[in-house]
Amino acid sequence: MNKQIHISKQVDEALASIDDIPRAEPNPFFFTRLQARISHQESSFWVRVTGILTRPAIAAFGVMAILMINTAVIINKASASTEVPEHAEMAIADEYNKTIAYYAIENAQP
Amino acid sequence: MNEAILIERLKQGDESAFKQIVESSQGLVYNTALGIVQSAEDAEDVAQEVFVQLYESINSFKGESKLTTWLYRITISKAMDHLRRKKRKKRFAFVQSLFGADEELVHDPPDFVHPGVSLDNKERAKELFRAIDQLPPNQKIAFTLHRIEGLSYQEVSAIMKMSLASVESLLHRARKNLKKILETTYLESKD
Repeated sequence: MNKQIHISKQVDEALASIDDIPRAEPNPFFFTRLQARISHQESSFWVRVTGILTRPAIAAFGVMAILMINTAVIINKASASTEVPEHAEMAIADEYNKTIAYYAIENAQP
Repeated sequence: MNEAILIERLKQGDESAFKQIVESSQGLVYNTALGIVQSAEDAEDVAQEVFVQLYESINSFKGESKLTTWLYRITISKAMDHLRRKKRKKRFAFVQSLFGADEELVHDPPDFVHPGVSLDNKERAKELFRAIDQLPPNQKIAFTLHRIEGLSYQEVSAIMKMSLASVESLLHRARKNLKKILETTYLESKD
């Protein structure tokens, strides 16, 4: 019982330890350091480029462009593989006719 | 100087307006960040990030709330992001150490005490801040704004965009959780 009361007292003391504490302030010359940080950021080329590229509209446009290019390539490839070029068709037909003619000659009855 | 005039001048790129705003609000930003991240070095970093964001995005400030309310919100967001990054870094370093990588483990810094705490309260305050660090995010934020920044329930509700009743409930739960954590701490230290 005494132990519980003692612990309860300690808890209350801990909770009261930050009553009315004054506000903490940053180290002196905070604004000077802040100005230096802003100047450094403004002069960094890659920071600016990244800043532009990561804007939501630009990033979304880039993703859409890549998707459209990929889609176009896939569609092109798909239609190219199902078509046989005309000159190839004729070459195949030619070869077929020659084969038939050769067979006919070879197997002609005397 | 009138806040609206200062903001207008800042939107036009007036450096002296920016300096005035920073000097008048650096305390509230730093103190709020300190309460959440519990490290002077990290709090300064967060405070700088807040003012950099203010500088870069002042044109998106519509004036629907007070500038200080906006600053508190950015500070809370940056401070919580900072805590998440730190946790991730710690987890990553730990995983790397399991695989024998030469990465040094990120160790917890020594116990934090707010610089405003009096000498005779320092030990108790250390235990309290350790307990605050274990609170869920919203309770930690509400407690920091109310007890460390000294804001009223009304001001806290405006900053956190919650009803007064929700803030009261949040602070009630925070206090309950802190008592539970502290009781456990003191019980274990007696054993």
